[in-house]
Amino acid sequence: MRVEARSLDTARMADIIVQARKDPLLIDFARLVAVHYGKMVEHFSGAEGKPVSAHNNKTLFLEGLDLWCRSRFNPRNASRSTEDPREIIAQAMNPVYEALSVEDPSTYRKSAGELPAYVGSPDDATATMLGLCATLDISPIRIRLGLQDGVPVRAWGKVYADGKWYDSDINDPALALGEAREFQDYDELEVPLEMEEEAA
Amino acid sequence: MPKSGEVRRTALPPTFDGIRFEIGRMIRYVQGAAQDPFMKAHTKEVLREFTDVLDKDAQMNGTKALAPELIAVGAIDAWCRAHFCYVNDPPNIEVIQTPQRMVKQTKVPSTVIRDIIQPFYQAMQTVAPAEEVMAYEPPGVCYGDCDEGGILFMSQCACSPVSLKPLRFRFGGHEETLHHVWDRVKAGNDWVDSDLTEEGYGLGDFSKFEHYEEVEVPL
Repeated sequence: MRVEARSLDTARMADIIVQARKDPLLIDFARLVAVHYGKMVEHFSGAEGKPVSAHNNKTLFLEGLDLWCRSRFNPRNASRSTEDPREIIAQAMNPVYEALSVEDPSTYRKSAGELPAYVGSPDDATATMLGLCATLDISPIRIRLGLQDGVPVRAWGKVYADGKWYDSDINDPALALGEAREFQDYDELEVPLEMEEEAA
Repeated sequence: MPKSGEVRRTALPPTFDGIRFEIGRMIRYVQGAAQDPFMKAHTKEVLREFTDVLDKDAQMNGTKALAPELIAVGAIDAWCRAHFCYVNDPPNIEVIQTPQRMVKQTKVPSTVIRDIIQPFYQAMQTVAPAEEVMAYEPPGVCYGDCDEGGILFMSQCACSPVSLKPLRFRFGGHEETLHHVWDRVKAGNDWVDSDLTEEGYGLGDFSKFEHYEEVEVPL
């Protein structure tokens, strides 16, 4: 399934996002990370006396995914590196899968070890983050482009959650969810997530 | 049938034949769980813990004892609500996990989850004292949509040492579609609905639809 787009990079990004929504690893990971972020917010907001419900709260789920990817898909010190964002997720999830494979998961004691540093393309990192959103049906999802003299110079995500659009540029540490850099002009590509699939 | 720890994902069949296929699969998962020693042991433990709480409550407050079937269904519903978190499936993809996998998810050690969500521990320290954040233990939870919630509850009913029969999946929809599923169980003389997917619902609550259908799970 290929998506027509304005440049090779956005076509590749859209393809990564569309494929992610049927990737078992990414579905499991997104569910785990989003729900646990929601639970953590519920816990600390309740302790503060301003309770926030995480029940299918897609804004919180988006925030959790954005936060995780922002932290793990950026350069940092590690003994190993990878250009594949999925490899980092696979290593992080490995202990969960091993625990699920034993009779009593509560007895499992290993850890994922040090995750590799991400040294790959920022666009792949963005697309993987948006793909994680797709697995939880946090949609529509758009690839937003910053244009300089009519030429796309930066791509990031724009995601619709609970009635509001959020910019997500995980490659700029100075930005938070909802923020984006300013450009002369902008363009957007909506990622077609509702495409029919052949029944397995 | 997926093995323990595996999960099946298919493209969502948009036709009634497709819906019937999914219903067949949900029934098979419940039937499989009903024969599974792991699920039986888990359900027995859920009932034991709940009965202990009820016994203590009865001793302290003099509350009247309930019928064993209602205690069993109440125990299973309470356990599911405490551990099941509702999430949507991806667009056009149907994800159905086995009940064994979901129960096992709740037992994955918090140290394993903690490792994965480490970035949140750093982020939360901007809104809460560091020592409180570091003391936070991730709860044992599992995740799924209405199909998976229905399977989780129904499987434990099928494993209950106190007989809960018949077991039915209930479907609700509008305009000739069925787009939601929950469970209905006969507990003693009472039919009891359980829908884990709506916040604030308790045992017996379910959403209103234009039309309903029911499918019994043969055990």
